[in-house]
Amino acid sequence: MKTDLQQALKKYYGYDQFRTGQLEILESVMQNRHTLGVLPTGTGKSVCYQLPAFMRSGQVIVVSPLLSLMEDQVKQLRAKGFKRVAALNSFLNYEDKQQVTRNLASYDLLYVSPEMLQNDYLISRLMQLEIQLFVVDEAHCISQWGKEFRTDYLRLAEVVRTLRNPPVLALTGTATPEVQTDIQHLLGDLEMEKHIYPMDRQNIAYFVQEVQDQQEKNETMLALLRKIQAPTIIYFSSRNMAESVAALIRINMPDMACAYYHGGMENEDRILIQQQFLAGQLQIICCTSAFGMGVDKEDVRLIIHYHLPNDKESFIQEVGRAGRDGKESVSVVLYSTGDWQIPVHLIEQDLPEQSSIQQLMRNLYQRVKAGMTDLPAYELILQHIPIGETQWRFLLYQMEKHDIVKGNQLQYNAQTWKDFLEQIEKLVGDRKKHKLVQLQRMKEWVYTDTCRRQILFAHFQRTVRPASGRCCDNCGDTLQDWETVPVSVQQDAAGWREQLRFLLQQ
Amino acid sequence: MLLASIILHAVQPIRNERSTASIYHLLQGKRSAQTLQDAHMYGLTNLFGIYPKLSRELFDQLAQDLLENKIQVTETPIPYFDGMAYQSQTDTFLYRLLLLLQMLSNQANGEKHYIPVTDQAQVQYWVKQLYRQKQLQLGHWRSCLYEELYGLLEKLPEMQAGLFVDRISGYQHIGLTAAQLAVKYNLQVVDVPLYQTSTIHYFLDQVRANKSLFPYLGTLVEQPKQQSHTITSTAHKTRMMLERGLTLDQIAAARGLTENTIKDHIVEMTWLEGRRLASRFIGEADAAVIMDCAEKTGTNKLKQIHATLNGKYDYFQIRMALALRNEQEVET
Repeated sequence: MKTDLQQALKKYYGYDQFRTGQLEILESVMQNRHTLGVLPTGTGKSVCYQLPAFMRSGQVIVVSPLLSLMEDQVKQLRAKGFKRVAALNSFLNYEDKQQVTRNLASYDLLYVSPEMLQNDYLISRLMQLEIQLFVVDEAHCISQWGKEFRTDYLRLAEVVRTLRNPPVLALTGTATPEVQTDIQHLLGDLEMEKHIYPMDRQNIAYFVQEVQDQQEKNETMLALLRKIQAPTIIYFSSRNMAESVAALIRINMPDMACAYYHGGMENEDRILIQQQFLAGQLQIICCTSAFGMGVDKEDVRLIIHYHLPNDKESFIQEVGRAGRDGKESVSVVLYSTGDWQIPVHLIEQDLPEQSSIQQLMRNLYQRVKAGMTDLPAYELILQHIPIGETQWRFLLYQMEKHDIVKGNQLQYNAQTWKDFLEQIEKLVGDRKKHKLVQLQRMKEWVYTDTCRRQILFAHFQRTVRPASGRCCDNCGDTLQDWETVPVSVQQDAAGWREQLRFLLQQ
Repeated sequence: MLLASIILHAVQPIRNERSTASIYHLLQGKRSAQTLQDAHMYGLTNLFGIYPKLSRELFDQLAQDLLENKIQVTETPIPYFDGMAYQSQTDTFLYRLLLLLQMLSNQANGEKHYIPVTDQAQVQYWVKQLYRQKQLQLGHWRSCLYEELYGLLEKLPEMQAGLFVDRISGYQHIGLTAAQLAVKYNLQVVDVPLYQTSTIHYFLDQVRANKSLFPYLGTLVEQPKQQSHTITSTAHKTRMMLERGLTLDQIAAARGLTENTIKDHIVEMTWLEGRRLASRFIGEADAAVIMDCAEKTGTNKLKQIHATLNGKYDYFQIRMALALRNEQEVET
């Protein structure tokens, strides 16, 4: 089987060798075993389900919460000549959705958003297929202890059962042992073959620098960019900051091609920026966490965190975009004490307020009393109660679990409603606490004076491997003697005449 | 700022007669009888539909700031536009051209794998067909398209030519986004699509006027399906029924529309097609009286004309006469 897989890798991707873990996971999948794969970012998780789709008959269904990543992958596969692939998500208009749903059997690989799987019609269509593999991508989303929790994911076990238990492949880049157990349990206590790979990358060095204020942060960042002139990603927690710092860099360093990227941009533009970075037309990307997934650029040398994410998992994932070619690369965190306000604020925004929950339940109670037991639509709720859509879906799932909602009907029982309110309060409180603990761990890492490698990976793996080059500032390493290998950034042609001639080879 | 200059230009003829929202609908290309009439009545047909993606919020804010003199803008010359003639073809032509250039550039370098610059299935299909049919002549296509484009771009201002070429994606070179183009050419982001549209309108116009000079670009032009000048399809249905001899109330009942809507259709068609239908609804002498009044009082306001003529004509008749006046201007 190994040679078959290797030949297929060569044929479809042009690679001679599998990256860490790919072969082991593929072998398990090809034997139709339920499989859990924890592979660090940048090792090409998608190969683990794309190859089976190319090689075998029957459909591969991939559930993924990252809609734009889904779109990118479909585009990239089509560009490679693999056309029997489609994505079903809210980006599609009604007609296209119908078109895909009606012709499911004509695709070998089908990406689906978790929301779409709530649709009974789609499920009934899926039941008519020969599903060879059901993939749960970003599987940590199923666990409320994962870095991102999606209530939609909790229903996947039921979907798998309805689809008559096809082999399941759960994939994630980051999962503590706690989260791994949760994944297995919440996917219906499946017996899974586990393939867990260490997340620490030996060729990345870690540096943290405190600054007094934003001005000092900008100056430090610019000095660093001058020193390490190489493909760089700079992470921000806000779209506006990503845009304004990109402008600042352009003004101060006009020779360094720099652009911004965030989820608020149009799809067409996001793809252009991504491709410019891959093609070497851009040297620096200022972005939010939206950038990076599915961007397989090998020679990113420097990751700067202008703002830190809320947890170490996200941080590890973002830093992991550096040095995929194995060459020495650097992570630099710039922080000032005021920065810790932002994530705390974001965490509080993420979860529903107790008062909103009470208001919601009162509103629902009044509906029931007035004889309206149909579950109101989210838009209707929003007119009365300030509540986000993710928050609403979270509550809806909890209400179904507590038999307050059954088949879109509200069911009133004084005791269950009372219990529900108490439990939900505890649940929201726990979740908030958990997130703050995660943030605290990130903070501890920033302030630690021992080896940053050891602390960063402590919760994820038993042993941490030594660095292949520089380790971290706390181990006495510096960037003073970093040697700049000048990369040739594609310069703009002199003018449109030359550019047009170049494009059309005249 | 170009958008600001366009708004200020459009405000002048409209004066106090129509709301600024009507300018938004005009630029955005709303296919309603009212918007088409506005375009004709105020001599703004060239601006019709030149900015389909214009955001309402942005427009409202800018228009308000301009009219209340909150911001001063240096006047920017308005480049060539002919929205009424080309707005329905602009997008298709632009994306066919961009995708074709991307394909030709990659094909010349033996590159088969690239992400197409547009998702539009029809455009992709069109380019694919062309690829199949002309497979052996692609090198020829490349040099001829180059010649045609070069000649056209030479006649445009340098900045506009640059904006166009920098947007093209090809072999190992990805085109710039609107935001990047704005930085490079020191423009406001909102102005970038306007210049691009102007370029395409210019191309389309040149291609139409000199077919023999641009045989390759000519094949990219989508042939309009029917020769009725941008008449809305619902108005078209009304015309068919009128031609079969149905009365206004019969048409309204049959189509489940109000009589006023049917009247809108008739006025719209009169703007675009002239006298053909009009004689059934207003005599030439009556029309002349109304046109005369409009000219003397210097207004196009229905209410004022109605009052000046002591309510002798109803609003429908006045609108028909004004629509006919447009035709007379064209004839002389």
